[in-house]
This record gives sequence, structure tokens and C-alpha cells, in this order.
Amino acid sequence: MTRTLIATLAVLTAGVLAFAGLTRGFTVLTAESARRRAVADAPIRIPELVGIDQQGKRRRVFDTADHCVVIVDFIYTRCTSLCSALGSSYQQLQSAIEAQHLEHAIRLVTVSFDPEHDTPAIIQEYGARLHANPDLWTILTPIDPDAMRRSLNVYGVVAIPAPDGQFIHNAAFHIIDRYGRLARIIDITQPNAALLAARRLNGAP
Amino acid sequence: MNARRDRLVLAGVTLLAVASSLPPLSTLLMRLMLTQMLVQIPLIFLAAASWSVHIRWPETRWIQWNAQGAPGLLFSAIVLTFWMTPIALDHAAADSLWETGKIASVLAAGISAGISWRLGSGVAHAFYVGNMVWMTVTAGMLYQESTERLCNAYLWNDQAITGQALVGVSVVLGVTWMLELAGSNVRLLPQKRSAIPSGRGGGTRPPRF
Repeated sequence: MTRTLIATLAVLTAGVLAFAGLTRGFTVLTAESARRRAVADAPIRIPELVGIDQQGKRRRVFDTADHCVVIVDFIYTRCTSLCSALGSSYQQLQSAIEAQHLEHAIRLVTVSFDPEHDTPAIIQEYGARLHANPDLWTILTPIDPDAMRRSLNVYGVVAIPAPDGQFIHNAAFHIIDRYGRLARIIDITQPNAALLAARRLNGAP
Repeated sequence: MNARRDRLVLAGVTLLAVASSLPPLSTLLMRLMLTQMLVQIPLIFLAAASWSVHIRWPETRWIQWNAQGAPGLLFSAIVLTFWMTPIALDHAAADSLWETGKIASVLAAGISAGISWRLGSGVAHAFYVGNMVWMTVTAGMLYQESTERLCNAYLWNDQAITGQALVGVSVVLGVTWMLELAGSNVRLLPQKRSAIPSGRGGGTRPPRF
């Protein structure tokens, strides 16, 4: 009986440890929230991603030379739900950055994960429709689909193709610090929190 | 004739379980939350449990470590519960290492359940079945209730259907066990052939509960 008790306790302990490991100490139940916590605890270096912006120029998502914190989101232009919400959030962020004169500290980058449809011409049209200020807000369509996939993986963005050229995808504000590390992932319902986090990462109080 | 039928069923379940753990079928099953949770995992578990019931394990001292099958059943319940959480399902869908770990652990959980079920009394069975029914219903309700996608790899309506199916499965599980308790021929797990005499109630088989 004692042996069974020891074995039962051992199994129970192992089980509790496994669940604690899985759920980051019983705080998360989904991969999405686990990712957000992991990034906040230990920022991760992002792979380079090059694309064509709304002015037809080659640009990187993040460039150390800019000395900027970057807020990145991933969209596709045909999206009618989540991405339009993100689009208007980015417009708000753009106005806030201009109003607070943070143009040289914080940049906005929107990346399409549907480069097959979102050609440079469509990206240009999309930027004009959202009144994106190209000095501050870059909209990119990736050049290399493999590099894009690697990036999506690191950012934790999953886009599942659905009928009629739609995608089911998760969305968030991904904040890259000045050293090119993904340092925060903030929910799309909280653009103010994203701006605050970006300012903090840039050394503002 | 029943022995032959049982062997056929066992062979069929085993074949399906092996196929569902390997590409191309595993890839197909992993595309939907519904098939990962309610086809692939149960098949592997059932095949492992059925085999471990049929194999004549040597009755050695290790049984002292597994009186009533308590730690074995607990282990099995923990593993199955682990693979009901959205985060674990998402990892398995995204990472082949996690997927391998899932198959190995569910296999171990099935073997452990098969061995321990026979050692256990009604109390151990009640704990195990009760726990599984409760956890499955809870997971099913979570998946039905959630207005957002809990797995990045799976769609929202897939999640909702999986939730309904989980509740359905747990009801079937509970009812099956109650029928077994009530003394019908329905069994959650196949009984060891060699131990069952032709007439019910006779023989030297230890009482089930």
C-alpha cells in the first residue's frame, strides 16, 4: 500500500509539473497567450524580412539604422473583419504619434501575409485608402514567401486559407525594440497600451 | 466465434491507430481539431488499452506499486486531460516533436489504463471514469462557449463542433460504464479472454468490483 501511495504521489507530482510547464505556471490555456507571456519575459530576435512598400521601395520590417521602436501587424488587404479593425487602430496610432511628435522614435509597419494577391500596386492603393503617412507608416508586401513564413512563425501569426480568398488568422500589435527583438505582443483591442509599451521600450517614462 | 470477432476488432483498431499516427493519414487528421481529438487520440488510446488487456503480463512484485491500479489510472487520466487543453493541441498541430510526444504518451496512457483497469476495484474505476467524463464535459463546454478561437491552428466552427462532440462522447462514456455496472454485457474495455469462462458468474475469476 505504501508503495502504491509513493507511486501515486510521484505520478501526481509529475502531472502537476507537466501542466505547470504547459500552462506557464497555470496562467495560460492557449498558445496565443503563452506566446505573449514568453515574449514579455524574454524578447526574441526577429528574422529579417524584406518587402516592397506603398511607394514601391524595398524596405525591411526593422532596420537598426532607424533607431526606432516598431509596431508591426500582419494583414491581408481583402480582409473584411479583423484587418479593418487593425487598420483603423493604426490610423489612430498614426494620429497619436504625429500629435505627440514621436515620428523619430516609433514607426508603424503593416505586413501583408498574402503577397500573391497583395502586389505592390494593391499595397499602394491600400495605403492611400487608409491615408498612411509613408514617413511614419510603412505597408509592405514581402518579396520572399519563405522568409515571410519564417517570420510569421517567429511572430506567432497563423493564417489559415479559407474559401473566397479569405484567411482565418490571429492578429495583434507586435512591438519590436530598438535592438530588433520582438519584445511585446499586445491585443488589438488595446492600441493605447501598444503605444505606451512602444514609448517605454524607447526609453520614454 | 466471439474470440475470432474480438481478434478481428483488435486487428482493425490497431491498424487504424498505426495509420492515424503516421503520414499521410495523421496529416489529414491533424487538420481538424475534431479529428485530432475524437479520432486520432481515441484510436491510439483504444488500441494500446486493448492490447495491454490481451497480453498476459507477468504477475510480479511491481504490482505492489500499482495496487488497485491507482497510479496507473491516474497517469492515464492526466495524459488524456493534458491533450484536451487548447495549448497542447496547438503545439501538437504546429510542431512534429510535440506530435511525436503526444502519440508516445497516449500510447503509454492506453497501456497503463489497460493494465490498471483489471487491477482496480469499483472505486478505482469510478474515480477514473468519473474524472474522464468530468474533464471531457468541461473541455467540451469550454470549446462550445468560447467566442474566440482557442487554437491558432483551428477554426472557430471546428472548435464549436469539437466541443459538442466532446460532450456527446462523455455522455456515451458515462452511460456505457453505467451499463457495465448494471451487469450488462457492455464493456468499456474488453475483458481478458482467457480469464472469462463460458458461463457468466462462474469460474475462478476474481470479482470485478
